Amino acid sequence: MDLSVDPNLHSLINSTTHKWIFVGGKGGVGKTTSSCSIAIQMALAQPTKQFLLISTDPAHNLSDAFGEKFGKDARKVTGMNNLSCMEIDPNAALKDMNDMAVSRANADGTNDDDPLGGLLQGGALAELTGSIPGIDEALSFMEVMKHIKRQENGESETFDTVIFDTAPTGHTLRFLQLPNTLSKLLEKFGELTGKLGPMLNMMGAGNVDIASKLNELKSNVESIKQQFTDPDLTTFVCVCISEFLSLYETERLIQELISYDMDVNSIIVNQLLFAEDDQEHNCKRCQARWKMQKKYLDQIDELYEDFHLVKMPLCAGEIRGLNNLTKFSQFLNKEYDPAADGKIIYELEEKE
Amino acid sequence: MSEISEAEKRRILRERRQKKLANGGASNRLNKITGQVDSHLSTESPLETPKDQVSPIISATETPIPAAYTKAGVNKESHRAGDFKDNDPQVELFKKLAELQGADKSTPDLFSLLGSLKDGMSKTNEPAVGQPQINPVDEKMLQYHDYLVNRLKAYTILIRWLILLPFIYMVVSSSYASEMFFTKPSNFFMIFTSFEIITMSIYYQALQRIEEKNNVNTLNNSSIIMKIVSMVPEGVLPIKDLKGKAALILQYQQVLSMFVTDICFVIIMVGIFSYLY
Repeated sequence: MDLSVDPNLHSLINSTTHKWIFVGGKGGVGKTTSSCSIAIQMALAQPTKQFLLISTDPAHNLSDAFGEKFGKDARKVTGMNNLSCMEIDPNAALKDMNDMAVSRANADGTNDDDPLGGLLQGGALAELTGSIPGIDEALSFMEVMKHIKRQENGESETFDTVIFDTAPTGHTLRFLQLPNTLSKLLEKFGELTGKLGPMLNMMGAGNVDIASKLNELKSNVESIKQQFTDPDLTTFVCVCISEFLSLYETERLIQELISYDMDVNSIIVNQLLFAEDDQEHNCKRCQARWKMQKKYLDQIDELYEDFHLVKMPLCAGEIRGLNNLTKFSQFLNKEYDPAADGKIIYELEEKE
Repeated sequence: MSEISEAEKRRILRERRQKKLANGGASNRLNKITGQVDSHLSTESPLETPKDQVSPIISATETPIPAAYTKAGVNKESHRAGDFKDNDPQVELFKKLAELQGADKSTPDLFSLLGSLKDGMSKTNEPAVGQPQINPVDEKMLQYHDYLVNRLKAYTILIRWLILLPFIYMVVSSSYASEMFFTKPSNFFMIFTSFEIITMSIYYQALQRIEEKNNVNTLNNSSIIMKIVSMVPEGVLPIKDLKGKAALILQYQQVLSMFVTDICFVIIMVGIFSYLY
């Protein structure tokens, strides 16, 4: 029985079942580059399918990585017809919510002197909600739910796989926790509305069917929760560098994810120097750093023998733009061979 | 061995990964990582963090899951991620709210609130009414006191009648011409009154001793009139110290009734002895 694990993401890239792929790790390890690379490789490997890359990091990098501006609506990457990107802007989403509240108040014929209406005009709702901790993750999650809803209703372009370029660890974990928190909250809300229902109706909320709305939201959240914990539909790709803090945080991240029942089977070890195979451009500092990286690599090999451990090289230049990303991303599908592929890391196009 | 499918291989690998993290494996791995560089970072695994402790990475609490997770690969339905987030602070808040709604005993209702208020008021009002409240006496003590008082009363009457009876006999049997001080009929009422005053004084002294010993005011506890009077609030009637006055009247009434009883006894006995002799 062959249980060896490929040191690449070939199986994920060619997977036809995965619907949600999360890419995450410590800040500055190359999450965006990795998520873009996975998305490109998947789009190239499965040209008949549609892929969406969403950034849930409040500090978005997708536009910079591809060198073109993406917004809150999915937009195709120039040069690829089956890969779209979107960046959820929490502030814009909050402004939308505020505007909606204002227009609803106006439609109800609310008096202009109404103090609440005046506050809303000033964007108070956006400011208030914007200061709530975890609102970025909540909005990203809402966006995902909206996206699923639209797909179900056939209102928008459907995507077969959604790849999340997540924020650094803490944010991501809060995002992944949301379905659990929400479903628990909604459960309790359900109990409360059952008890307080008559009172709410007396208070004038009778025209809104709270119970049915909550049930609808609950079923949506439940379905997402179920999908996120199904290893055939959802997986998490950890990105790290071969250094102590990154390794430590990756291990904790993996343990947290497992505690959420999420599947995690791939680790990308980024920014490796492979100095001994690069005699031409060798230097003392590179040698020393590569020695340190090797020390942690040995530990990583030992700790993650059952994971797809993908070792990616540190390139000479910045990996920006579709061409550079495509060149770099090939090593996800077929592992990087320092001896044979060494020259590619010097072939990246310089962005002006 | 036969080739296994890709899905089967993934499942086996997943189970292997879970097994390595179970039974303290998760903390051991973190120990291994931090031990190599003498780091001071926490080696407490999110998988082994008790429910009520806060994880250093995120502010929500974690619960260990290996048992549930080992089933994960076999059965999709066993993916109950929600089970591990029972202690979210927001969820806890709503749980508490729901419990408050559900459990009647934890919610003080209006009646119990009024009840406790009433209790408090009656307690504070007692001294204000001006009742010279004797220490709380239990029912058995009162019964015992009543028994002692009644016994004293009975003995007093018996002794008095036993003394009066020969006296009456002597007075009646002796002739009208008797010159003896005690048997002289003209002296009878003086002697009888003096005897009554002495015996009554002795009786009240004995009663007082019993009351002091038992710490019970006989009048306050046994007389219905005293109970009714004590219910009248001070100031309603234009009489000062109504209760004290009522107690005095009752005591005079008691003395008078004893005196009248003795006179009745004397008259009856004089009648009987006069008939016989």
